[in-house]
Amino acid sequence: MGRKLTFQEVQNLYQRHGPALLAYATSLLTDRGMAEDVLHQVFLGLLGKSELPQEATPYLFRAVRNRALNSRRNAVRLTSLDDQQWLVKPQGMMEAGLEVERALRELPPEQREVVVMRIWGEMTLAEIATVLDVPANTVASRYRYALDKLRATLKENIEQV
Amino acid sequence: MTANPNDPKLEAYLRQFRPQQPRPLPGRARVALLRWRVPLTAAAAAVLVLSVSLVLFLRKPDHGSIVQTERTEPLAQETSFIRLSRAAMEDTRKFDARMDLLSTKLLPDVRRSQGILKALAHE
Repeated sequence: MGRKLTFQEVQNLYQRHGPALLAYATSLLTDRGMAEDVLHQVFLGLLGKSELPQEATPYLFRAVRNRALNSRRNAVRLTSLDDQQWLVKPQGMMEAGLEVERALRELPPEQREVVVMRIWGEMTLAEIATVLDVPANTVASRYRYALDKLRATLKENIEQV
Repeated sequence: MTANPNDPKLEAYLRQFRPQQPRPLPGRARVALLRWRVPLTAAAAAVLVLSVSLVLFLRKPDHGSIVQTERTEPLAQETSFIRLSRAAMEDTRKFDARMDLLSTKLLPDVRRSQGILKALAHE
């Protein structure tokens, strides 16, 4: 039995992984308030636990995924992802950011979650496969299809950069 | 073999947009309160029940102590030195009768079958 995580260690993990996990939970739940509640439950739950595995990122994404899916099952009503803004837009890129959010919303959920984990969670495809409990090839194809769609939608914006 | 689906240019473009910060975790004190909420509520309920029981117990009249007071006060009056002296000077027969009566109240009953004096006499 290892040492229990301290409050400060949990805070540090939250600072580091919170934004990506919030984006992920929001993409699953389509409701920012619920997504934040899920995050808090996961991180406060860590206080009673021993040290995390070496690779904390897949563990945290998996924990958030499980809780988010439970919350979604129990939710009476879910808001639309259309109402949610989950990306910070750099100066002068408000329109482009809204375009990215729109393009992400249009992706099928199973492709969207792979994109969020890969881009903002900075996870490898193998790690994503562990979280989703599917073969790595499946993750790779979901990601490829998602990028194809995003490339087509955001083509003009990308070429301007 | 997994084909490499990466697109560095598109990925770099997407990464310019950072996900928003979630609201901060509750403070250490609030977390402690949340974790201890159930035991604290149970303890508060127990203290409340005990307090109410104690108040009710103290408000209930104690019949035993009243009986004790009633029995001891006349006895104390009867055995007061002044009263007994006065009785002895007024009428010696009355005094003897009173002493007999008091002795039955104050001294152990030697005629009782389970009395301590009887047990000592056997030894």
